[in-house]
Amino acid sequence: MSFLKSLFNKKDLKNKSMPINILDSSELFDLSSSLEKNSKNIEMLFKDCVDFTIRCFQINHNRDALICYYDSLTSSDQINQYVLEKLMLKSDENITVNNAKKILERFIPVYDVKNTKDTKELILNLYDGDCVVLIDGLSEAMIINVRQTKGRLVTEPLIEVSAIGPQEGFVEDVHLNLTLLRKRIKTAKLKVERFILGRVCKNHIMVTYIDGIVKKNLVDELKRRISRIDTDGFIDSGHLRRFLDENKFSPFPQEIMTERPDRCVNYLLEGRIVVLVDGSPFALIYPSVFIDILKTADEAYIDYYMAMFLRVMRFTALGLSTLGSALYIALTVFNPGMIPTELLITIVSSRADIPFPAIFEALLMELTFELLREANTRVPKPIGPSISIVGGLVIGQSVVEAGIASQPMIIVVALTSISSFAVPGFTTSSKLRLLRFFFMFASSALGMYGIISLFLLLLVHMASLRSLGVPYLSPLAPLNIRDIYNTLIHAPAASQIYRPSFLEVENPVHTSEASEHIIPKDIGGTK
Amino acid sequence: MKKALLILLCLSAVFMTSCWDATELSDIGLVIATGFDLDDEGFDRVTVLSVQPSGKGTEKGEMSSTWIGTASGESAFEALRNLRSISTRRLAWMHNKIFVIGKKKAESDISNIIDFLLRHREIRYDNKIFVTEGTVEELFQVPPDLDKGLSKELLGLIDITEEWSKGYALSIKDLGVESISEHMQGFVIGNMGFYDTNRLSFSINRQEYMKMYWKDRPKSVVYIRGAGVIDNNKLVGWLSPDELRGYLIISNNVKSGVVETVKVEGKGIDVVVEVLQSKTKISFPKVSSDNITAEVSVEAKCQVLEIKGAAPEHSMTFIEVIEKEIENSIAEEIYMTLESSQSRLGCDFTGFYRHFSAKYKKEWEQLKGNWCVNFSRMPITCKVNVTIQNEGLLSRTMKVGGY
Repeated sequence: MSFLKSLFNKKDLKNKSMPINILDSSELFDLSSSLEKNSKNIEMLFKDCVDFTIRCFQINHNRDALICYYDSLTSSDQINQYVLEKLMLKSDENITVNNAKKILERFIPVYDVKNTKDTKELILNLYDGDCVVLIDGLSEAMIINVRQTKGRLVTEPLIEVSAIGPQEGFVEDVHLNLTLLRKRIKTAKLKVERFILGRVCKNHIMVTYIDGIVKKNLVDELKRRISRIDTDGFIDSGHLRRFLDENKFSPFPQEIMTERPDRCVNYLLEGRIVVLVDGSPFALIYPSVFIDILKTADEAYIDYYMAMFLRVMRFTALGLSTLGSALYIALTVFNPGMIPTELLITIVSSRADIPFPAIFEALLMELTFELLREANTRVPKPIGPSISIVGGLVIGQSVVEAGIASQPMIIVVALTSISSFAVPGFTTSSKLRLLRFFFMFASSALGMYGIISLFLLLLVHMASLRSLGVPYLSPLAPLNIRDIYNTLIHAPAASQIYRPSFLEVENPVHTSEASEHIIPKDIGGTK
Repeated sequence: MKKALLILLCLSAVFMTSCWDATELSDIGLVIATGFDLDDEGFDRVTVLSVQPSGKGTEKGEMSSTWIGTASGESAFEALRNLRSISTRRLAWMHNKIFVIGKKKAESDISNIIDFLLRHREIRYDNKIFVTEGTVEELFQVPPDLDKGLSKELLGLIDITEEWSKGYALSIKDLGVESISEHMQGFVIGNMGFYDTNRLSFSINRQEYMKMYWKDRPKSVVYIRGAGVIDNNKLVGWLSPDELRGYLIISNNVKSGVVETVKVEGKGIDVVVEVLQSKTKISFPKVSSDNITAEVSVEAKCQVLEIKGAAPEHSMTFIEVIEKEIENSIAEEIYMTLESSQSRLGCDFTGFYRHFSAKYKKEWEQLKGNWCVNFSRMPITCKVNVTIQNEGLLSRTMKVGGY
């Protein structure tokens, strides 16, 4: 019995959770006017942190003071130049004022300073890379911004590659990401609200939206949801979205995940909300609907014939990648009458030597491909090509020669896998890819009937799904022709003047109707 | 709870479907052609051509993958069942394309076969049906020329019948229409057969030619040509290719491929034309209780294909002369067919009864019992109107010379 107990870990763990963060603990102290006391308290709090520096110095040779900071987050030059130098050497007059605010105003030539009595604020600012100056006799602390950002600079997007259009991608630093957004939307209406979340990590989460376009309720609801999350920290925005999913078990992505600032701008202008997470190069966009799976960033830049064609292609790819293998199984096993005779004869002759049933053959090849794909993402770059040789040549060719899988099956698997790369939503939400396995099982059990039943079930599920309250199938269900024209169809830019109405935007028109008539009539313009 | 109910509901629907019969492709033999014979003991004999590929692993790449199976039984269906005893694969008819009925079987009674073909779930309506002058068993044993199996060659032949107009492929759907109609008056069914020849029908190199042990033996070649006439579920006679063409013109079934050669009187010129478009109307100018006359009027548009001899300059009179000659030649063909229909075979396979019954319901009620006799007595006139629409590319130079 005790073994079973230990197996299921019956002990109640919930009551054992202890505050890990200093901010919640009883160790938190109040600032006193005695520098010695403060110094001791800080030392206690930050003990065993090698990169935490406490330095004592004297202001004007007579007044004790202390500066503390994380040297991993701050710029030592700035501390030397704007804090220590100003306070220790350059002060001609005696700093006798017993007011932190006054000292900051007069002696510290740094753009971002503040004074506080709140220890919590003090500690939070230390985490962000500010330095704190305490002066003997003052029960107030001075917080001076000497932050230094270290990390990746803005590079090209790695996953959402686009041939034309902007080539900037988000990086891990949330402030840099914000810069990328801000420099594209030059208005005070672009609101950025900050949440500091995570019991341990204290991540910065930025909720960005354009006031006056987005529906206020959506923002409030999203903010409410985000502020309610209580966890250790967010490693990535992908981590955050798992908390925000409205249906936790749905195979469909309920948010858009992108590393392209231009795409974010596009969605912000549509009336959606962008969530940036510190430490993650991916932004989350809420609310999202089904058709967003098929949208890419560069659609807006290329001419609309091609954009429409490519979107239809991607839609086909979505169907192929989820239904391809399943249809092959259903047609060959249950309805061979639906295949043209000549083709069927070819398929039959290539299947003749295969000892396995079609479903096993399909599973084998699909799983092999998934394995290759997984291996390819894990493999160190220099060895990469060898994987494709082994995968492409050995598995692709030898499997057929050895009579384990038939050629048509290889073609089908190759087609489904290539299709899955063509769907933009697949790269960021891999769970969609698993759907094809369910379809394969359904078709091997019930043929076409199985595929159709599962498809209907999924349709029912999609119809009931919502992202931040917006029906997932909009604008298809509930049907809105104007929205379909403005979101699903590509037309000349000046004729698509409305924002999608399923987002219930406050300002529905994004392009003035007059822009359709900018070209004079006598050289071929309309009207 | 609701979800569980939903899932249960979905699962129960599974048991209502009939698509449980999953078969792996490697287990089925695809029947491409089926033949019905009557063997010497009076049993129904069924012969099938079935594609049963054996895989690609072996070196015998040229090996035929078509299996010829044959079995007999007291009925056509029983014969098909008996076929299973010698077949190594499950036979599937959904890809069947061709049915052939042997002469002996066709002459005895084919009502059971027609019924079976229309009733069977796996057989599609676009299948073609033929009669053959010998037995199907022999026909199906003819080795294919170039394709891997005979079935594929037969399909090629069927495709071409439309271009030639002297061969005919009746579909199962039309068979149903023809044979189930209330007062069946006989119908035409295409003829498929084979002849022997010493001629090589494919090119090979000298070395291989020397090796061929059968180079002096006659080789069989399959054709689709002419037709048989079925009346009262029995084969009553054959139509020659020219008669068949006459029939196709009368029944408005010509799509393309009617080529006529006419001699222009006194000038020693042969003109070959192709009918591009033809429309046939059957009318009955005189209908009374004892005297009915019929008229076949044909509107045809032609194209000049070749002219033998010294052609005159382009002139309307010459074209009119040619048109007249073509009209005569087409009419002759139609009269020939009508002659065989009215007197030789004595059944209205040309379909006059259909036009008559649609237009003169009252008279038809009186005549329908004895239509055959009435039809054979009926004087039929033929009016053909031909326009030459197109003289080919040469016409331009002809005009230049003329003006």
